[in-house]
Amino acid sequence: MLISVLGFGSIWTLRSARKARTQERFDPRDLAYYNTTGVDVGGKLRNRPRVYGVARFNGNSGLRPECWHRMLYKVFDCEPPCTWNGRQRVLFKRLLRKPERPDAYLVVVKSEQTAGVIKGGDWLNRETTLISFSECGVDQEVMAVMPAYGWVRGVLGTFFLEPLAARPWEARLVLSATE
Amino acid sequence: MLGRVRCILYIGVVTGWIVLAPAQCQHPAGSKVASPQQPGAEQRNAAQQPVPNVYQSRSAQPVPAARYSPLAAQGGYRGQKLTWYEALFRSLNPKNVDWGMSWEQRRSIFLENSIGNKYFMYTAALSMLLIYSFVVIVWQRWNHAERLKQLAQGAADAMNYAQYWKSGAEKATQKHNTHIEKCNRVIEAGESGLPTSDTAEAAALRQQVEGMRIEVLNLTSENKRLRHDLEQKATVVADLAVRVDDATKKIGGGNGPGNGAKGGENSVQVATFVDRINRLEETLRTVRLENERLKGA
Repeated sequence: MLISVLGFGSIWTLRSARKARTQERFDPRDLAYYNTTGVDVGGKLRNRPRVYGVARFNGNSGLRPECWHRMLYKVFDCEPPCTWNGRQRVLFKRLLRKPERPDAYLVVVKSEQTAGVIKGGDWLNRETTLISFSECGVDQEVMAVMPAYGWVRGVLGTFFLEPLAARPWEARLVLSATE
Repeated sequence: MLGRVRCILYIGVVTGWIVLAPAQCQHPAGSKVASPQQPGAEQRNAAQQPVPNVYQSRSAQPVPAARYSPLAAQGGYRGQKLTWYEALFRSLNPKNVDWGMSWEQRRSIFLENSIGNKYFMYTAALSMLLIYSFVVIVWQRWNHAERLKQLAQGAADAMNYAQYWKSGAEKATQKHNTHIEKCNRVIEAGESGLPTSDTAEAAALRQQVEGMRIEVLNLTSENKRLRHDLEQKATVVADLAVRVDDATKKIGGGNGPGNGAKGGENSVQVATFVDRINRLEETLRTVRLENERLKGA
């Protein structure tokens, strides 16, 4: 499954050799970066999960967290989203050298963008997989794996994820005028 | 309650037995009236009897030589043939006291004065009864205190429950009053309140509208995706059309004399292209119809 990254969550964590359970058996390939959503609580980023999940980037996937902005609109070879130990997880295995037409997009939606999502009823496309959802007061952050032309309903209206025709690995959330 | 009655009954029986016991004890004493001494006195006299002389060997003095020393009577040290352990025992007990006999006598005196004495048994039983009565009283008092504590806890729970339900009743009353007040305001405003069935129907309709809205969003998403695919296919078809035109031009330009075999090959290619174009146009038409159908939905 190919997933294009359109955004990252606010919280990064690193699984290093020092934190590994058995340091002797630690393989450098076991190095991993975890990304999840977070909200600002009293000047600090907190998870405050309504739904907890992570996007895991393997250490040898090609991700460079020190310049994560270069990873935007890059296409990764991934495992399909699944439930791992009771939490949602999507595994990014390898960065493609040349971008291809992706099957889905990793989307992060913040409440500043949609003025908050509508939690009652269906607020996500049925083909969309919710990875993580953080909320504190009016602040919200949602991470989801969404196919092209998926939608998310916010207070402002419904946003459709529309890829660019020339570069299908780039997409953006467009507020629909129908509603 | 039954246990307490039984306990009191037991206490009474034991007390009666204790009271009757001295009478039975005094009866044999009465039969000894002829004797001037009481049994206890007799016991005391027995206790005051002289202890058998432990120095009988010294007091016997069968021979005159023993008057000044039993050792001499036995012939002095010269006549003795003592083993080493007899010498050791003699050093430990030089006066040759019979400690076993002494201990036995004292033990028999003690037993006669304790177990063999009925007055001792009586006083011992009385003491036990006294201790038992004391324990019963303390236990009753403690039990009473425990029951009082439990009663106090039960009363506190009941009071808390009463307070909780009173507050619940106040809330319910307030809610009811607010609701009635709203109903009154609605009736006064002329917007007669909707009956319950209509309200339920409105909620169902609202839910249905919400479901339809979600369905519309899904269809819109599908429509956009199909339109995108259609545009891509249109681009491919246009590209193919351009290539077919180019091929046609090349074929037209190359159909000169002496190109018979090549011309036949080109004509086959052209037929293939035309067939492919026809199939693609058919596909395009189908996709457009599907798109129109979805738009109509």
